[in-house]
Amino acid sequence: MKNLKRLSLFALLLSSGVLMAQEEANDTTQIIVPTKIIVDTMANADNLVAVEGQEAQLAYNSGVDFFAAGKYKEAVSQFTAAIDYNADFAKAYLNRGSALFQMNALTQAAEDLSKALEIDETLASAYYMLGIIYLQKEDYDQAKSSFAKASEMKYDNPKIDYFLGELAFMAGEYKEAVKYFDMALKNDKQNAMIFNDRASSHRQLNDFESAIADYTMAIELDKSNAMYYSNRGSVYRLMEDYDNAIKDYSMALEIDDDYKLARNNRGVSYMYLEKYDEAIQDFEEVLEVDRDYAYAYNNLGLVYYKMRDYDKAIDNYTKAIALNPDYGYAYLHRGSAKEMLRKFDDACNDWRKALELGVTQAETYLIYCNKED
Amino acid sequence: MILKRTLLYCLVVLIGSLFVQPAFAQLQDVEINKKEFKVRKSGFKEAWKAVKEADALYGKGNTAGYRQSLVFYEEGAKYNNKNAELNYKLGVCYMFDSQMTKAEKSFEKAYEINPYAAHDLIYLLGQTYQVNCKIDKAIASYSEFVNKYQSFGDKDFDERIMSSAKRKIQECNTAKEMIKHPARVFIDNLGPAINTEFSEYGPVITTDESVLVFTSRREGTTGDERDIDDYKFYEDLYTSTKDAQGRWSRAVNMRDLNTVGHDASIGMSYDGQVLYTFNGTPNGTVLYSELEGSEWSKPKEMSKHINTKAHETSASISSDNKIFYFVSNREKDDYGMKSFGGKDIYYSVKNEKGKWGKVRNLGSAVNTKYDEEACFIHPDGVTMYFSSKGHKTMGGYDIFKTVRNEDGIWSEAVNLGYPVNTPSDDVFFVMAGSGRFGYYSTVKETGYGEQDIYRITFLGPEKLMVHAVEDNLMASLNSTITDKVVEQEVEIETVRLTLLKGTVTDAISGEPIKADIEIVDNEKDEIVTLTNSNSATGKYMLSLPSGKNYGISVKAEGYLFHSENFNIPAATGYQEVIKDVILSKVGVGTKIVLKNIFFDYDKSTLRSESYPELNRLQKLLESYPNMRIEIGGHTDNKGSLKYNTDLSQARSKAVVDYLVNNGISRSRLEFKGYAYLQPIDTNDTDEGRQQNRRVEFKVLSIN
Repeated sequence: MKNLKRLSLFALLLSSGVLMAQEEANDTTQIIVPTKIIVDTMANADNLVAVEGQEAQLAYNSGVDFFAAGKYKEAVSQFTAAIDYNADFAKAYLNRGSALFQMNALTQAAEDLSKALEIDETLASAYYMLGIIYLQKEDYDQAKSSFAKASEMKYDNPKIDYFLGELAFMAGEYKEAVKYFDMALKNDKQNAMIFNDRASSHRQLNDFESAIADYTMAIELDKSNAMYYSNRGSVYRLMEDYDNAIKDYSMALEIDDDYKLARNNRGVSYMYLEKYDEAIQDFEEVLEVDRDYAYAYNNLGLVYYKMRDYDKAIDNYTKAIALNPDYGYAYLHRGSAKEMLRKFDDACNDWRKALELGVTQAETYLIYCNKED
Repeated sequence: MILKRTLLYCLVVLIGSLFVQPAFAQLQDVEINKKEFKVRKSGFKEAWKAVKEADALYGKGNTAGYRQSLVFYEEGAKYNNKNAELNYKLGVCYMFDSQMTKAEKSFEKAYEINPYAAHDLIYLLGQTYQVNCKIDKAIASYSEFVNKYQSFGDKDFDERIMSSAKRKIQECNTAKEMIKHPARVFIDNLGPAINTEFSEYGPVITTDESVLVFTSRREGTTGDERDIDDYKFYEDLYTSTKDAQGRWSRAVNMRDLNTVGHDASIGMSYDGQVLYTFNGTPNGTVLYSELEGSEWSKPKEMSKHINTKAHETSASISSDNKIFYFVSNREKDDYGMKSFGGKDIYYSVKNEKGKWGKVRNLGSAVNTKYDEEACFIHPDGVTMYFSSKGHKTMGGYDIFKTVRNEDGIWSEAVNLGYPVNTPSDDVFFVMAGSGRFGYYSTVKETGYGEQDIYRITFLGPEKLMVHAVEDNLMASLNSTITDKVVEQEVEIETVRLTLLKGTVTDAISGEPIKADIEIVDNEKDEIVTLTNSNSATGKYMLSLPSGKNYGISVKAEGYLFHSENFNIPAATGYQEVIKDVILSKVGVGTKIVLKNIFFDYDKSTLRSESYPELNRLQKLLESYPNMRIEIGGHTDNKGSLKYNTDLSQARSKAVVDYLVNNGISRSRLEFKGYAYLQPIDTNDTDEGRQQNRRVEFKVLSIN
């Protein structure tokens, strides 16, 4: 799944007007990079001749060629040579960072980009790229300040709105996120990813109707992406329309049979339809994909509880707890299953643990428990 | 009383019997035709004989007749079970014998052969369906009955029958709804130590569930006779106690109280010291008996306000012994307010002289035009459980709950829900102090026979179940989002009650003592409850509602009083506190801690909450006119010795001054400040320091 996500990011970057300019310039569609950065650096390359040494410039130019040909390793070597000739060659750092980014060496890429900015703090594109790297590393504060810096410097990239939208989303500012995605869509009307993300923001705002409409747009624009189906399925699930939810999850699973989240969510939907056999099968298959997925054990526990097979429910909750000792709800549920087996003292102990782990609901269950000595 | 009550256990709806009679009149004889006995001709004679005998008994029109005729009809049916009338009569007999599954089958068979074999066949078929929880079928039968009903020519009667059938349909709709959303309970049979193949019902308990008293109609009843009305053994009272493992002892017959006739349990004080019974006097009278040591006193009749010519059944007394609730079918209360219809719940308040005052109807929130029965006031003083055929019943009597607010208004009655309540009669429910466990009797196929006593464990609302889902919501990020978990606003019914119990014993011999136990609301200087410990066991039990500071004094003749203080915050839920009290005989050198004396912080000013305790001390000195005592003040070890000596001395002097101002000679009183030099507990904890800060008195001389 992780690889799939990364490709999605590149796909997003590809699908911009900037890429078209790049295509015209280089007559190639091979490059799947933050293209605007390359355009920037190359556009300014001529200006550097007078300043930099001949050898440094040659190596740099060669690096750019390799980069354009998608030969990042070679590009990195050439940019390194340029830096060897000229230790203050800011754009060589910048573009070596770009090449490393393409090779998924995010930490090294970030180091190069920071070095480029140390030498030349006006390189807005470096801030922009750093923003993307921090986003990938889930360091949302750093990402936000990097994008803000790029934006301050009038760095003109339509994708900034998109990334700021995602950051607002991650900060729980969903209304703000919708605004950013609206702006991003103005520049990029056919982008499924932006529709997906705006849909997700609507979902979080409980505007399920708008969410369905946007996910549906995303699916129409890109029918091969399992995530869009799964996400729409989840909105149906939240609307308690489990039949439609199951249909969407099933579509997602046709595209990607190992899609753990979609299968787990389908199991939950089956559970609410009281189709317990199907639910159990889904959760067990999730565990075949990921043996350590505590959530699937919790969900299996819920199904067995509903089937009044409290022993099996307890077994599964116990497995969930073994995988995640801080799983408060698994304790809460296990206590409730023990209660049904009249193991009241054991139940109380589990509820106490759940409360300790922050499940406030447990407090009301403890009323009838004997006070601990 | 007993006939009435047995009828209700038999699950038969009285309205039904209104027109059972005319229908029966036409069916005095079940026709037995020779042509129906082609295979075994001799069978005709036997069948004819059996049915004739049955008809004679059936014709009595009472429970005993129906039950006794049953075997003969069964005999007749062996020869010919294709006779509609015979099956109808079998059905009626089964109903009166509480065999509802068989009743349903017989009525079904009668219906198949001839739906009009009796005027009320379809109605009774509906009723057996209802009782057996076949609700859709019941609705269909009642509807058919309504649609095809043919008048008897008596308009009033027709109207009553129609409204009864329509109400049945309403009950069925309620039942459907309740069965769809069952209450979360465990219902457990109390087991063979309590239940037998005969009927057990009317359980009453001490609020800590340690003692159970109930009624049974089992073999071995006092006098060993059966009631001619229903051909069952007369009721006797039985009792059982629970051991530490929660097991009930084998129930024993309460020989002190039982008579040859009917003796039934209808209520018990929460501490088990007073039992309210019913014996089969013609009018139906409430009696009470007190536990004196290990013996029950001879039952006495309750006051004339409570017992009238009408039937009084069921009784419950508030835990402060001040309000008596009971059920009566009287026409109006002592203030002229008319009954709402059938049996209603009434109450009487004890006046200042300790007599039961005029009786009042409990009002329309509880009483309906239908029968109410079996009231039970919880020791919290505000929650009442009762049975009613009105309100939203699923059929017959259902158990309801109502709560009195601060203005004295009873809330709308709430049905305890299925499976506690069923379309049959569900009555005589009592709730333990904890609010977690209830007791009642019901008929279950899995039981030991007829009615058995069951314990209900209330599990509260459905527990929260949080499914685990994740979604990858941002297309270019790996982060997953889980559903927002909405924790439920669950209203858990909490009983805000402290049950204080223990034993009172002699300090030297360890023998149990019958002592007067007085609970005082310290702030109001008001006696909340007066009770005694039992002379044979020394046991006592007290129920203290939360939200007050209580002073408890334990007094017995020849002993120095003992005091305790309990502060129970308003938010305290149900708790059981065991406090064993040891009393010391009045003797030189005996020391007693006065636990209800309070001073302002860091001062020697007595707070007014101390007066009840000081007055007790004053009375002690008055009853021993030559007694000399020393009042000793003690502190914890915070602060300097000098400071603490001064404070403890000033405080003990304040106590002495109070006594002197109230007429005790100063020459009999000494005071001393001991500071922290005589601790009775550790000074390392808050609790220990609290114990150490105290006022004691010591007897210096008696004569």
